[in-house]
Amino acid sequence: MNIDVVMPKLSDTMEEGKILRWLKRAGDSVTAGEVIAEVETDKADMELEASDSGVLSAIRVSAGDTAAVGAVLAVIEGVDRDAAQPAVGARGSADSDAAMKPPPLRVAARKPTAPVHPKESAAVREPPKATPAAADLAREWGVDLASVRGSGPDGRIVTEDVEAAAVGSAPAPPPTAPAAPVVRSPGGARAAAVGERRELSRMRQSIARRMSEAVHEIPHFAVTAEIDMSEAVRLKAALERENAFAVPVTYTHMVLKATARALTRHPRLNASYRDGALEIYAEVNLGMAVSVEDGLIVPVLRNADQRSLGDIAGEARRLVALTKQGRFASEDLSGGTFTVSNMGMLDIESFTAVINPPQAAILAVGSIKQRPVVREGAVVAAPTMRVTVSCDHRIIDGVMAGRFLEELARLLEQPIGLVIG
Amino acid sequence: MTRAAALAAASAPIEVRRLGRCGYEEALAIQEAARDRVLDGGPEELLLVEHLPVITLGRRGDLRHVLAPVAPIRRVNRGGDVTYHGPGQLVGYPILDLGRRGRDVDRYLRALEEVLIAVAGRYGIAAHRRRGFTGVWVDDAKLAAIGVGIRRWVTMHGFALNVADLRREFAAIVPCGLAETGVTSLAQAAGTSPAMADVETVVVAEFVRVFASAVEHGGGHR
Repeated sequence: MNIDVVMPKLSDTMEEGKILRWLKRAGDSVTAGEVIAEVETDKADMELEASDSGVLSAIRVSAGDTAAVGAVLAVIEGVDRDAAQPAVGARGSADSDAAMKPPPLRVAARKPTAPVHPKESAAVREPPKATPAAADLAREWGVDLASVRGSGPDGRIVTEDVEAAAVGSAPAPPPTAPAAPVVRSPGGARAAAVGERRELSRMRQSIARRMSEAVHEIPHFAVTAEIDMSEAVRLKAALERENAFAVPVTYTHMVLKATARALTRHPRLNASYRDGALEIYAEVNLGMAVSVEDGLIVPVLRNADQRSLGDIAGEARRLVALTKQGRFASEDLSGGTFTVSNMGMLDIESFTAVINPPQAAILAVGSIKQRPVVREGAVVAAPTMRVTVSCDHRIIDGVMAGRFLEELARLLEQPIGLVIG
Repeated sequence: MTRAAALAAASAPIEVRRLGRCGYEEALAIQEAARDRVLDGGPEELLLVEHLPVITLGRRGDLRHVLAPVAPIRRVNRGGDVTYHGPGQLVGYPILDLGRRGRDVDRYLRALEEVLIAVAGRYGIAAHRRRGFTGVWVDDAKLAAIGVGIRRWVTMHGFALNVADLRREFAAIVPCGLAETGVTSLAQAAGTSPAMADVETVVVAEFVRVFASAVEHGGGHR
């Protein structure tokens, strides 16, 4: 017995509606009361439910397509209630969709059908790892389900899990690269062959867009300084030896503390250019660029200028951990006034970061290395670190950036002030 | 009276619950519980809440419309695209049974608009509809967003009325995908900053008028 699922009439004036998405795929079993699709009219979404059970044997109108009221959207193959076994779905095989209760559909059963009692299933299928909706979303957003932890019943991956992963994680691993076609232009010149093409994750798209806007709109310039970290190295060792703080202090924490303090003395870098005006922030909230798989998230260390070094260490560690797990809270990503991007863990000399709008400046921190420095006329080796501040030239001039870096260097070269102040 | 009058159900009173400031998840759980009660034949409810910052995406929502992550992002089962909720915005979740009110989604959306236009009017603001764009507008700027989810004719989600100036928060998103459209608020459009509690009272009064039911104040959730 087949049952048509039709486009419901949601309003007197409605002539057609759009299938927003199917929560079930052809071949899936559906149970009574289960939402099988979402239909959109204007700004209302209506859940389309199966009123009874069966197998969705065909989808006639795809997600994103529009259909007239009353049009057949899908067909549900009802379970033959006289049969000894529940019907097996279209894709039925070893993992046949049993465990499902029989027909009819409240949505639009063409023929009225008698209620049927559920039968014991012949084989209980392993619960799918993800709900169909979550699987669709994961495909749409390029999230690898294998990397997502399910929070639904029995560890099932639900849409929320995919969303959390999309914000905090990577696109699916690329399919194996097809043989690279060699592309030749008419002139005989040879364009580079494309080895693989990957859709960008939503996070990646968002980064692409924001960074393009930043570069197009903000006249960037960058100033670099080399900072002698000899004392900072000593201080860090001493703090570790003394177990001075609950959370071990890293160079990153020292840089954050010093940056916050330098910003209070050079507030012009803790500002935004907005609608033709200079807006200087009353707070110093430091964004920390945290790399996640194929992306970047910037949690915000609030009121960094008012925090002790130990406090900064604890809070920064907490934020980074939450960010890596995709578990940040509302406050954690908002309200940044200046960003610090640290690549010190990599062996790089220095780099220039792109400003994170609407902020006006960003500090790029390189790694600490033994480099030759001149002390009292002699060249000696000392641990130094190169930092580069990128600035919005609309409101910051080179000299302001230079003074800020001088202050930052002074604070890090005599870092005891970071501990006691 | 408008065709919204056709929505009026001369049935049981609507219970109004003022939740105060409330996280999105918590409010969602309260909404879902209310919906379950209405699905079971219980009295309809109007929940009023001021959310902690959150960006929600309707089923059509496109993450590309989120320019900066100012708040956690959550996908929800309502119509519409991306929007921001946070302090300074009055969010209303009418849990109504359209099955008892003529089964017409379009009329329901227009009735919500009517409520909000009337609320704006009480503050001296000439708000209006825009054909093809559900919501309430002042000139070309959005004063209130509307997005609804329906299960078995019982509504969830609803409207978000900007009370305080939220331009900075909204700068992070493209509200409802309308890149060219700005947002406004009662504070901006009226030139004064009405108290949230007063706005709630006005919203309840206009809601009752449009949906023509006596209202019981069921007491806050907390």
